[in-house]
Amino acid sequence: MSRRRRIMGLPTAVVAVAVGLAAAPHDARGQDAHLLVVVGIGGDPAYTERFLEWGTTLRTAAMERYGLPPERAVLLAEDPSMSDAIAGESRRERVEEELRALASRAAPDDRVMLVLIGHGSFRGSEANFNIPGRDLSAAEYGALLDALATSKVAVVNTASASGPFTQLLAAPGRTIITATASGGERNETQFGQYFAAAWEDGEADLDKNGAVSLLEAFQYARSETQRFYDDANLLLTEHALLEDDGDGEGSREPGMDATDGALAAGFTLGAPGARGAVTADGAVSPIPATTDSVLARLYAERADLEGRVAALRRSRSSMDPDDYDRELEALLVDLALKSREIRDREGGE
Amino acid sequence: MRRAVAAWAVAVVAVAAPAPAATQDLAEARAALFAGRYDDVARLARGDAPAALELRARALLDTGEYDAAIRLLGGADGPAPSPAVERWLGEALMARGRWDEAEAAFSRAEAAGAPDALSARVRRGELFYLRGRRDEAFALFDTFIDVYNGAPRLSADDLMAVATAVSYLGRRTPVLFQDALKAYDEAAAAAPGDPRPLVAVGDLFLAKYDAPESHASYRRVLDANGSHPDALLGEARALEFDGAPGTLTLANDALETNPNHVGARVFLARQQLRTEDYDQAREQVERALEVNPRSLDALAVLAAVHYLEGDRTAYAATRDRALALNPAWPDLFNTVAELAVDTRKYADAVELARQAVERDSLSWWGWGIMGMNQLRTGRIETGKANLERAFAGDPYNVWFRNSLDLLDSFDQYRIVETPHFRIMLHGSEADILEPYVTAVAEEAYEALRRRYGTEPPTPIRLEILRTSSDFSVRTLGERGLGALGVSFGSTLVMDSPAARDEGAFNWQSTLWHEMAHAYHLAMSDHNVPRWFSEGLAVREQRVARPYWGHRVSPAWLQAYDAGQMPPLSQLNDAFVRPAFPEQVILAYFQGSLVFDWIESEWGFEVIRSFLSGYRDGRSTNDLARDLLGLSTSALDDGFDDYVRERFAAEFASTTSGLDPTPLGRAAGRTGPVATDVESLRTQVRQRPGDFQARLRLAQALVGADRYDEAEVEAREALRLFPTYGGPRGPWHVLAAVHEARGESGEAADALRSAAALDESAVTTVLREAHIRRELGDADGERAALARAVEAWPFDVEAHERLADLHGAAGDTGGAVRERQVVVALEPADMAEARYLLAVALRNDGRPEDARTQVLRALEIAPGYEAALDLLLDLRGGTS
Ligand SMILES: [Zn+2]
Repeated sequence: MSRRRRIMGLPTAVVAVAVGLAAAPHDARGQDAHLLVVVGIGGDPAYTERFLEWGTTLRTAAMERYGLPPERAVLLAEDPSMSDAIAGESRRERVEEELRALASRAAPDDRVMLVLIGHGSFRGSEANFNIPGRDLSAAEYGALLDALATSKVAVVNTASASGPFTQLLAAPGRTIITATASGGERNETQFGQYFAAAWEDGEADLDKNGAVSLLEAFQYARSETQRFYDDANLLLTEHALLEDDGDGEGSREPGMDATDGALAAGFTLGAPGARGAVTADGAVSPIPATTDSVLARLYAERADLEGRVAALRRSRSSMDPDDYDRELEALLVDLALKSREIRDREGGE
Repeated sequence: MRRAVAAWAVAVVAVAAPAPAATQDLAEARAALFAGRYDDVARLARGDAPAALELRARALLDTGEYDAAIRLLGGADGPAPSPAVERWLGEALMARGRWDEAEAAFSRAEAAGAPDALSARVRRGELFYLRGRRDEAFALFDTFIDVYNGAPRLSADDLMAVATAVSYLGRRTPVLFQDALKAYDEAAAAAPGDPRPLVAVGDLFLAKYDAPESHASYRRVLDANGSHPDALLGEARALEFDGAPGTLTLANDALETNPNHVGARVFLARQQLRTEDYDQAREQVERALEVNPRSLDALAVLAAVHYLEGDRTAYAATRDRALALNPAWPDLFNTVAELAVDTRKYADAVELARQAVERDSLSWWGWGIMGMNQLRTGRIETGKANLERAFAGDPYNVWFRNSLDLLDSFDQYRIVETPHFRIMLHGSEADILEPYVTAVAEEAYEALRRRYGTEPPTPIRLEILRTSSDFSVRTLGERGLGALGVSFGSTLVMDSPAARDEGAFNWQSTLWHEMAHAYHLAMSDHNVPRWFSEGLAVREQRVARPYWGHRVSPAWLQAYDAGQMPPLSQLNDAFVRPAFPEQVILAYFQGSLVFDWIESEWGFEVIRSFLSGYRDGRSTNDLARDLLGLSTSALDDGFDDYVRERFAAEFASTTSGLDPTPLGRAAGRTGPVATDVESLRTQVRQRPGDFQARLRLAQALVGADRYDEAEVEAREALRLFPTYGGPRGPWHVLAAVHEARGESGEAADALRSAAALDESAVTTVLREAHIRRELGDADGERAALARAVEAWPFDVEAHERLADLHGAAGDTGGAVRERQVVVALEPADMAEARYLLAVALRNDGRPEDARTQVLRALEIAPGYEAALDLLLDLRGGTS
């Protein structure tokens, strides 16, 4: 149902051509996104299947919606015979190998997302994500990530007892998402399911800019997880955290204007059908590439208006509500008119 | 001086000590007393030595032979054979209410410096207290603190006396209860095996609402002496506190040992009053007063009997009799107040509690009753203030604390005002419930006003509490099995739908039921019998929506047919003292049938006349004779004829099978256990007219994918019992059969028929909606979804879909309502939710509200093209 909102949006093909994403996932300025999904040990067939399904959903979305080629969307899992999508067994040697390969392959401006799906454990000070054979500790993941050329790294640990990863892996430029707030939340988690689903379609594009950001995927997954527990009348036993300011303290409610969230807001796997291109800092720019100088000016003006809306929103709490609404409306009307101009111009191309 | 007393005591014992063999006997007599072998005490404690007399007197006191004890100890006028037993003479006289003679005996013990002079002295203080001379009592009790602090070592009796005095002082200074406890514990250590300190500790814990500790103390006594009457009564009271069964048995056991136990008789009388058994209660309390004509507790219960029977003259006489003994005694009023609450006379309870605290401003119980009942009558602020006062004086009271905690949580609630209501909704769900609750509440108000031709006092306060535990606290003391709502008159309190699982109940139907009570209570001035109001309220549910309210069930049919349900004239018994747990639920349904019958035979007008008749204090039998022209037996017979005729088919198909009756189930009988098709088919062959066997066979056949056979059995079950509304009924079976065969239209119709018999069939109607959507039956889908969100308003997708369907059908207001609820449910995608609400508002001709919503959408998502277009559109821009 929520797909209906897209009917008034720009025709996808036009935009894709405009930003050069139609066939080649490699965008104009040469940043790539890399996804490594590690599905851990299930313990029983039901979990094994469910975890694999989530991992596959995420990988498929990355490829089909965000245009990542298979070699940059790698899925490791317990039993490679279960699916052709699985590149290899999720043992520590193979995980290390994939991360080392990334270290040599990913350029300094590339984005890397590592997603862990499965069960976790926490004993004493040791936080683990459970894979076949010997686990890799949080510290070991940290060492492998430190070897990457890029600092634009997102680690998403959707497992139970994943909370300690927040602190253990925090680093400048890095976003850490965990399904639980601490090592003590040991019950099976639902977060991973909704985090994977967030990338599937436009549902999680909460600000309607055409791309799902890591922040939006987190917000969507947190909200759907909450709903899952509400519907089942269960006590919420997982409290997801997002940390991206490098201080090791995750936030329950990150946002553009909160302590955590600004970096994650700019992290995407790409921009399917969006009018924006991916900029150097990883954020979706409101200024698509174009050779039409009139359009280029219009895009810039629209970007300016959007920036002013964002600035106004940040000062909301200090403003009189009526003044705020008046100013907001004035900006939005300008924005609406600008969007029409752009559409007319684009339509005329 | 104290030490001198102690030394003297030793001397007396030494002088009076009989021969060594007798000492041995005395020790055995003491052991016999502690073990409850009372006959042995008399045999072993021979002679006139004070120690022997004391043991024999205590045995007589335990067994209620008070007059024999008085004779043994020298007669009522005294003096006793020895100062050492004057105090026991006093105890025996106290038990018979002979206060003056008792006081004289206690004074003689003190004057003579008896070894237990402190015990005599504390009893004198208690006598002051009983007579309402509280200042003198407290002055006397005050001296005991010095006794304790100044003495290096006190006897067990002295420690008991100190503890008793200090526990009285605790009424002014609550923390002193700890000191009392300490002294009792020391007394118990100093007199191993003596039940008295242990019983006192149990009583003290119970007074401080610590049932587990009180049980532990009473148990220690009962382990040694299983028939100790005070411990048995204490245990009964502790069980009552827990809400556990078995209280009556224990109280009767206490009377077995001591048939003159006034406390046990008063306890029983109170229980009987709570079950509206006035005659039994009166008999018990009169027997108590024969033993002790000055028992204030017995007089209070007697006053309550008169009060509840509406005999205000007799009430006033009994009240004055008690107040003549103790003009400052608050608990007469508190007792009557508390029992008045049982019959829903909340305003009376407030007034009675006011009289209690006027007599004794330290009556925390009185302040508490006043506060609790002010809350029930909607006076939240005053009620809270009085509860706080009560809790400050009685900080151990768990009820006061829970209620205050709940009141503190009221700031998480929001008040929504409508023409006739003030509706309290929890902030987390207020926006979700508001559109529905305001509509159904006003609809109920208007529909019932038209029916009853009058109005309850307004505004009606309707509290919808977020959790069941909050609901339990708010409705504390109210009876009702698994109640979902309660009506205190114009204050209604109920569970939010979120307080229970999806499909557990239909909160709108419950709201209507409680509203009906508000009318009944107002029209009868709170004098309507419970069965009448409950039955009529259930009928009102069905009148409002045919699918609401209780349905005829095999359980009721079986119970009624087996004589397990009372006749109409005694239906109240099933509410106030159900013979088996399920009887209450069945009585709601049976009560509703009474009004189906009366309304169809005599018209609704006569029901209104009943209510005004109750207001005038008239009885059901009396009113039935005047209004229906029926004697009690004709009334019962007429109702019986009515139900037997109306449900002839249902009785025939449910009462001859293998299933046990509800009473049988309560007694542990189980029904047929076979679940395999062949055994079930055999059962059906043996009893072709047995609905339940038929239904089980149909269910089993569906489970085995044998759809054609299942359909035959389900249709036969339906013919046997067309209105069965229980789980997995014939319509459900038929729906499953049709779905399996791909007959979607028939499946949807079967689900609709099933839902028509079950007010909270959320899953059923959602399934129906799904099928109708696939069939392209928009109207049918819309109706089904409306049923789903009525009972369970927390399903985002149902509201989204319903909004679309309302919009397509031109119900723009309905679309707005559903879109508002979607926003209130806070889906992840708020920009879209607000945008679609804006569209609905625009379509409903509310451009200003639409503009506000579209701004909120764009604030989240400034690049949202559709919303930008709508904004221009709303400003009259061209598009
Ligand atoms: Zn009721």
